[in-house]
Amino acid sequence: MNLIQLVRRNAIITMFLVVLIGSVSHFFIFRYFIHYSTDQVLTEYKQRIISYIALHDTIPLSNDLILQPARIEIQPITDITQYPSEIHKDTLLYSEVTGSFTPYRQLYFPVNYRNKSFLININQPTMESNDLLYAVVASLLILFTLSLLFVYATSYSLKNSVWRPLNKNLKKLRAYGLRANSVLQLEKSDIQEFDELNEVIMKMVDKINEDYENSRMFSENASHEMQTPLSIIRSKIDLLLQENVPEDERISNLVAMSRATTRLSRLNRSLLLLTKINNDHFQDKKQINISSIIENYLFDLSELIESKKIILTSNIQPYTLNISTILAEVLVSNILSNAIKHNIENGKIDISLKSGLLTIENNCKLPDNTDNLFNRHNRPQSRSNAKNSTGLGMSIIKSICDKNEFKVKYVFKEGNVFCFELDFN
Amino acid sequence: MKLLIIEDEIDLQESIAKFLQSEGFAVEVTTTYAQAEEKVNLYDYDCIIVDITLPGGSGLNIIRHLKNKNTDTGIIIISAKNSLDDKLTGLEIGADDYLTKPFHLSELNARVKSIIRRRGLQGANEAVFNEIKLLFDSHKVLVNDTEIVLTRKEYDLLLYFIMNKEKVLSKEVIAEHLWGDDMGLTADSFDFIYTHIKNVRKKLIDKGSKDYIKTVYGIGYKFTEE
Repeated sequence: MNLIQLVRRNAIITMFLVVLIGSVSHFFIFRYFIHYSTDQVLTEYKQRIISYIALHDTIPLSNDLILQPARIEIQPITDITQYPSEIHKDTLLYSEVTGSFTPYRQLYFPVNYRNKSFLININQPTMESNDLLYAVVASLLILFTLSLLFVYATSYSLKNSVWRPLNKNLKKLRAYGLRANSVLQLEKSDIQEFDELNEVIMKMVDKINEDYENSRMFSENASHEMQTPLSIIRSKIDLLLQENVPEDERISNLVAMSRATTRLSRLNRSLLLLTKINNDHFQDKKQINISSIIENYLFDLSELIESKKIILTSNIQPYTLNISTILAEVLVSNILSNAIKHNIENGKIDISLKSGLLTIENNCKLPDNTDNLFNRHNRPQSRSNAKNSTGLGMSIIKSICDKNEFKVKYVFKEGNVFCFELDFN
Repeated sequence: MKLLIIEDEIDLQESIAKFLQSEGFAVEVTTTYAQAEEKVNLYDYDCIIVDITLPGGSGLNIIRHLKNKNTDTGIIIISAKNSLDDKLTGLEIGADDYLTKPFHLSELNARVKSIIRRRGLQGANEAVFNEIKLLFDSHKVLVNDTEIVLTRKEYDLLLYFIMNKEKVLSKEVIAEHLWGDDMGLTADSFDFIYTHIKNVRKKLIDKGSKDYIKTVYGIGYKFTEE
């Protein structure tokens, strides 16, 4: 049963009950007022009769009236005190003309006339109960039928106007599939509930789409990046399979294979981390002193810095920010290892952290493509100096900054200086 | 036969160079776009093996460059990108073949040889190994000038062996050459290769050829004169 049928069924049941109760109450109300008005007429007649008797000193009665049954009847009574001043009664009287009984309202009242007592009754024709019932039921039935028609007409027009956007959107949703670049556009209906529903659905679909796109990119990048180390391993195996390979060559082949596997596992770890960041796996945010993390890392890396004879100058002021511990460490380690990895012998690194602005300047070899280091596809391909790098460091930095709404940018300055800026505010 | 390998991955470049050198090719190597451009400008090669993603530029541009020079160099693209688009672009601008990483060196070797042969640089439409002669145009095999009838797979197998003579070929390598990705359809064992090898061997021996196909225990086979 759809919503419109449910509403319609309830409306019809309600209307039916209303009509049922309405007809009973109408019947009683009408009958009461009909009696009331008849009784008023009778009371007026009574007054006229009494004043006629008082005025003319006679009882104005003739029994051979044209209007049969007689409108006024008189019978002598003995004791006037036995009767109350007025009695109203319903009765059926036989009409000789039509030969049928018709309902009458009667008023009995006693009068004194010349020391004799009489009981006078006046008859007034009134409406038949059956007729009244029929009238009431008939009129309400018409009302009921009209309402039925109205309900159906309304629901039909609602179906066409109000439900159409919903049905259209349903159709779109049913036909919607997750594909690259497929956009879901739901129709606005100007009905608050439907628009809210649309909004929620759109939000959900966007989220799903984003996740889908992420995982698609992940598998694409992963497969692409993995081919190179795999092809190294495979070619080395092909060489090793040959007979009479000299011992030293055999060993150098094995070493190359081992390098390639290390690269594969690094790559795997980085890609997984990147996916986790993009899928908001790190939600355990707390207040973290970023300056101490940086100092710890610089201390850990000091041997590496010295081995490359890099001159390090740092000016780090305390700064705390709200971030997941793991992400903070990953961020710092990536930034700092980039500054060392891509540095030259006897190069320089200047690190400063002032009121939430982290600036790192270091010497570097100029990469071929300086346009967008944050993009996995545009990373410099000079693998000769980056054998152990997956090229995903900048993407990881960018993802962490995006998720935590840090502003990050870099420029290449004169004299092969790479300047990296991260605004934590 | 002079080859140029343009590949920025040193380990891979070394492997390819070593394998092809052992096949008797004169091999030169280069890692960057600039070097590669310089080399193709200065020298003529019979075949170049080029990676698409190079430091300093795209390997595709080197192919365009070569085509503008109007040389008769054979070109094989080796790339980690296994997308149809790249393949089509590469072949469209004049590459002869496209090999997706990771590949087997013997596969690369066979393709290099077939490109050089197709370009007519060997001057012959046949491959000769002692008493065995393969006619490429008619796909015929002659042993001591009498024809033997091989199925297509058997012909491919024999050709692959002759292209990679004196090299140990694992069952996996052979299966991949003959069936491509479809070889994944069979279970892990490559025993079905054995039937083909047995048939080829039998047909050759029947016509008086020596048994050149040697089994290398635990690995595969080797086509050798010894």
